[in-house]
Amino acid sequence: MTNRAQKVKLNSVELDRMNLDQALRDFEVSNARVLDLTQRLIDSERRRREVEAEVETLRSRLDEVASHGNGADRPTAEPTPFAERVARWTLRRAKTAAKTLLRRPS
Amino acid sequence: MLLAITVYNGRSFVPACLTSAKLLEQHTAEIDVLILDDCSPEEGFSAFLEQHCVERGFIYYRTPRNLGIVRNVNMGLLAALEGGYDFVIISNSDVVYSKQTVDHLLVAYNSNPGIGSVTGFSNNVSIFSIPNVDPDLHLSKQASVDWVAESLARQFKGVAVDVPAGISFCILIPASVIQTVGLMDPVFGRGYCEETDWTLRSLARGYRITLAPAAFVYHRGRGSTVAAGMVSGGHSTVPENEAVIDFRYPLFRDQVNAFVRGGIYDELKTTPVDLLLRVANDQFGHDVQISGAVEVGDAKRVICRVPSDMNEVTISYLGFETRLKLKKGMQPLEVIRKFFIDDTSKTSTNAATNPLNLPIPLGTAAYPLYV
Repeated sequence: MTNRAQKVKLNSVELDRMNLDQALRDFEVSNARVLDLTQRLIDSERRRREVEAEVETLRSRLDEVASHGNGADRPTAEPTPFAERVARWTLRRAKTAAKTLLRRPS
Repeated sequence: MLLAITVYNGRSFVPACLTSAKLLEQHTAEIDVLILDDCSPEEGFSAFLEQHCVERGFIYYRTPRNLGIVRNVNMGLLAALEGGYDFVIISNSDVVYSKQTVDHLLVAYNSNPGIGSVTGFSNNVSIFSIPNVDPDLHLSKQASVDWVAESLARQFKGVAVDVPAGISFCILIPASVIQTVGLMDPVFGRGYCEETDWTLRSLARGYRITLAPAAFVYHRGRGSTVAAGMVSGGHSTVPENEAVIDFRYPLFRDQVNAFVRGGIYDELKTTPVDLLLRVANDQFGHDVQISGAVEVGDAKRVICRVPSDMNEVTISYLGFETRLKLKKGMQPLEVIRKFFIDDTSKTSTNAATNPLNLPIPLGTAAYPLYV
């Protein structure tokens, strides 16, 4: 048989008191959660904007790379990757060598 | 022991719940019953309910405003703490208890010091339900509930099976565990999944989540929640609340799957049914019906049906059924005899000598403690 050390007699008055007390606690917890979630929402929104901007930058660079791959004109002032410059130099040298060979009398 | 029953409307089913609560035996605990009327809006219902409580000596409390299931349950937990009770049983109001429900829950709790909650067994207790053809027809009467519980206690008394989560349709919680784990989280709004969250929190604190197969309680199910408009149609849960569980406990669904595939789930479905059929046979005998013959079955006896193709035998009683496959050359009567006679030794034992056929680990949970 379990024994009970009676603390509070359960009646409407006591239950009303518990109800109100707990409602106030629930309110405090809810309020704290709202504050926390609002801060998280702000952080999350900032991060979303950053990621969105990063996506835009990457998308435009992808477009540029794609247009280079198609052989489209590119402003000469624009810096090119080292490998691409080496390839162009090699191509020019090859063309020059080919022309020299073709002009040389057999 | 405080039995806190949450109520929201339900004129058609609440009186049966209160009547069965009044019949609860108090061999192992003194029971106070607290009815928590969550500001039921049905006209005249609260006065009707209060009158029922006065007649039965129950404590009645109607909240000034509707709290929703979660906060109404919390009122029960708080009342247990502040009232100095050792245990609280949180219960729905669309249930019928057996006379021994409280005793069986307590005996299961006392089987191991690490237990943090004990959920009752039922026809409607999520995935742990005992299968029945028509529970509302067969199991809603007090006599039926008492018979099922007494029969299950033959083998399952004192047994606590580890389950992935508790169900608060009827759950025993010690006050000391409430002090450690806290109340249910109001983030679950008007209800559903709050007890999953609470029991998983208790698990994280090292408490076992268990179910007592002997503590059978008839559960109509969705009584209050349908009345409140929380769930409708074929829904049995609130998806938004399940999303909270998935977010907080990413491994929970895997734990449930592990439980389902681990063998205990199948045992919970089949062993109790077989036990009930054998006990019914011991008490009332059985009739065999061969398809095509004149039916001589007595509703108070176990019925064994053999179809004309003789490929199986269906044994049924009170909506509980089991099917025995007949292999070539096997005689139906021999199979029936074997089911009832050769296996009767299993029904005559109890937890002290045979702690179930269920593979229950000693002192540890039956599934990984990931949470």
